[in-house]
Amino acid sequence: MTTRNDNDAPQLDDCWNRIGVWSKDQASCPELEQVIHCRNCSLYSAAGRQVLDRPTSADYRREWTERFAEPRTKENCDTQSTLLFRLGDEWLALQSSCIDEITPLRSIHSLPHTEGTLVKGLVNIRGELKLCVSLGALLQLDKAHEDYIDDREIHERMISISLDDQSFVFPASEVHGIHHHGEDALQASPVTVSRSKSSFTTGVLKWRDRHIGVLDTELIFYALAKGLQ
Amino acid sequence: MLMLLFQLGNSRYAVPAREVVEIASMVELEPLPGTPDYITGLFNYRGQHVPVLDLCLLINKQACCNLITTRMILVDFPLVTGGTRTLGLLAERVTETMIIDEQDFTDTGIRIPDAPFIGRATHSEQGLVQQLSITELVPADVQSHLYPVEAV
Repeated sequence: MTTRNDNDAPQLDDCWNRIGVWSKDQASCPELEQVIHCRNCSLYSAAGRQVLDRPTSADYRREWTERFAEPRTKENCDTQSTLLFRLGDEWLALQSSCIDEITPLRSIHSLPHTEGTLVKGLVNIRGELKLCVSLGALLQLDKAHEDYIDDREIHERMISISLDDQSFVFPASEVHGIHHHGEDALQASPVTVSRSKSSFTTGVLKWRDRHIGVLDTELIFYALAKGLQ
Repeated sequence: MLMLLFQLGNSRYAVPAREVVEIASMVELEPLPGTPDYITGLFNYRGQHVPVLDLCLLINKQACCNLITTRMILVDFPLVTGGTRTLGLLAERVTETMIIDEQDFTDTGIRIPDAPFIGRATHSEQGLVQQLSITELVPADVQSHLYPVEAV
């Protein structure tokens, strides 16, 4: 292989700094009328490619040799997707297929004779009145003990869920987002927990330094419907 | 048709992107004694021994420059004995793709017995672009050295 010295590399004309959008004065390049921004200009992208016209080092070639020598790791495509959210102190996961929408907190219009039940009231989600329930009450979770506010910026959310023709909304103290995990990442819940009355979990998921209970979607919907009768 | 562009010496060449398996950075190659000089060596591609052919040497009789933009185009090479094997093609300035209509490539009418892999070309903004026919790149006798029948 022939080698080329660094000195042979052509000098760059940084016209984008001289007459382009990054110039200190008014941009005066006539090309800008056509391309609007320097990043759309072929001169600019050609200059970018010139950066790659450098000789490779022995380290560079060795690193790539080692990388290609590794067998291709088969990626596990068989993953489950769950939504991670927090109710009070408890982080939970719910199958993302039953999540319709996550919205900012909406005002809840209370309904008469619903004290002490799962029902919190009605909320307006895009013009549709939906039943707002307390998932925390169903799971018999306590209110938050820890103070999360100092930690970082936290927004309470409304989570709309639906399965078949049932649909509910419940408020959550915080929503992390969608989390993908493999089948084997789901561990069985401890026996003491799954025996207890409040257990609606299918397993426990390790996320960061926490163990998160993955809720049983069908059981949750069944219990909510039953609790409303 | 999406074409992968590259340069050999001062000329632009292209191969259909659908024939490309991967574009790989330059690696350390183990020399293969007894093969034509344009077969620059062998490397371990994820557990598979892949021979690498220097297109610059094959076409311009001058080895590819040692630059980051010089890359190995890994293709599935169809063997005369049937089946395909991965082959690395070392070329310069493998930095661009371009959509070129298949009909735009026309026969140049030139047939070179020693270089049957060229013959179709088109004019683009970057000047003349010649299409390289991957199937014709390695003559049958060299193929039989690189890929013995029992190994297929």
